[in-house]
Amino acid sequence: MIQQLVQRIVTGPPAVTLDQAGARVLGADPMDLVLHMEQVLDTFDPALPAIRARSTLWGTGEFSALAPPATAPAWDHLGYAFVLENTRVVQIMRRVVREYRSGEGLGVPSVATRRWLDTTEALLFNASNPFPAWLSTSAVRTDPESVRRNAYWRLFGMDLAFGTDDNRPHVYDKATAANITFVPLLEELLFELWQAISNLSNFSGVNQSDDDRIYRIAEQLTFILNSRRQSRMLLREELVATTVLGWMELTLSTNTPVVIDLRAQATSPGDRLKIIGERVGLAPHTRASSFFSMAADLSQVLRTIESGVITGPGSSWILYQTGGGGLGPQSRRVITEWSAATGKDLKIRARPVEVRVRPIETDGRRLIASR
Amino acid sequence: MSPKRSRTQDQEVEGDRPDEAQLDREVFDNEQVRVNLHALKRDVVELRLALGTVLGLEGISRVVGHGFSEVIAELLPLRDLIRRPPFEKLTEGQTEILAALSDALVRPDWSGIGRLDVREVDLGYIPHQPPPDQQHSNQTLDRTGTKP
Repeated sequence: MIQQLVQRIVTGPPAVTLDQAGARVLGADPMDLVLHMEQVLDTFDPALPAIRARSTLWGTGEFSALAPPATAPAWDHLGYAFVLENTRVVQIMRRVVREYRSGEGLGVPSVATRRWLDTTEALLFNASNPFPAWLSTSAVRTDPESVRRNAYWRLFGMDLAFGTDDNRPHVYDKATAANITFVPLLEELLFELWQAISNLSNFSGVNQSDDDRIYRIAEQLTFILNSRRQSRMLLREELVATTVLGWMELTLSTNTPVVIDLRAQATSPGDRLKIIGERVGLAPHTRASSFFSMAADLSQVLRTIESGVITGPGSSWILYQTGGGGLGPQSRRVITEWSAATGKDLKIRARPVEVRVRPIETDGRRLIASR
Repeated sequence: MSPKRSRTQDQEVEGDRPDEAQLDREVFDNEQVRVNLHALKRDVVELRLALGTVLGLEGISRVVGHGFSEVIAELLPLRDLIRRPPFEKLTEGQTEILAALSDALVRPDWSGIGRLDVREVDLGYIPHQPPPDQQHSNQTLDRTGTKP
């Protein structure tokens, strides 16, 4: 939501430059961001009864005139938050906040950095402001990171690549209904998409793209993702997760005041995070750059799959064609970075898919064909 | 020639005909020339074929002679190897969904921004006197309500 809010400020009216828009969001009061988040959620999902006081409140916020259209959720898919959180950015920033709030070990923060600290504490670490961030946490589920981990597990069947800040296993409520087939399906889809992308400009040789298989895998992914979304479940959790990770991404997108105060100026978010990690003694994920690179593209690909817009083999091209509404560049980026992050080469099939044919009794012998 | 020819007659005839050995030599020479000529012709054919292969003259001559239709007919099976079903045109609903998703997720490109400065408001009058444009509003908030 954060990056989309910056974009809406840029386009206006009145239109402003990107650095002006970024500074406006980065210097915003946390309560304004919280109120705008409620507004964005209500715009897309008015089925949830909006309490009058709350709707009156967000009308007073700084960004109230920048409500997005109601046609689609104006925030990233939970996959965006998952890959960004795997960089360990939240835990590193927790240490930054703790250091700044408890002493002057990192130096004296500037006024702008102190505002950033206020907002980060309110958005990420549950500081009351005047209510916890968007009611996704409570006395029952107090830890925001546990709430996000629970959502990742339910939607993707995946845990983060690390435990707690001090490397102990992170304990959270692990739901029994979880999409544990998500990763094999996604990787199979990415393999098929690579075949299709590499055959797009073929003029000779065999075309190995298989639109029907792409459609079937995408359909299966749509089913399992939507099965966790019944009655708009996980909607608020997704918005919270993508907003706080979006706040982290905005913080590292360029040399912002906190980056400068931490003397972590660099040319990419991954490098900035690495330097900040060194300052506070917690190394980020070694593939953090890959996670930053694919986060937005993965979000768009998953949103498209989940929308059910691919209705048959004839529309599978949406996922690999370039131009005309196709997501070819996004899929290609996800294939490349997912391979780099996981160490699996998705451009070659590790092993053929096993196909078991129904056993047939012939002369008392059981034949099982497989390939 | 009569079989009962005299020796003198035979000698006269032999005197008019070329020498047999010379004749044999000429035949041999002719045969050599013929063989050489055949070999040369074969070489020429082979060279032409090689040259045609290298330069594509064979294709060109065929195209000139028979037009493109023959070449197209020969290449037709290759088309089946690369042919894919045409991309299905999206329905209006699908186009709307894709456009909405794309619009909703548009994000800025930060690659050209090297540094982001958040504006800091300079509250220069603390603890000094407020600037002149602030004095009036402060005075109206004065609890005493008295004018300076």
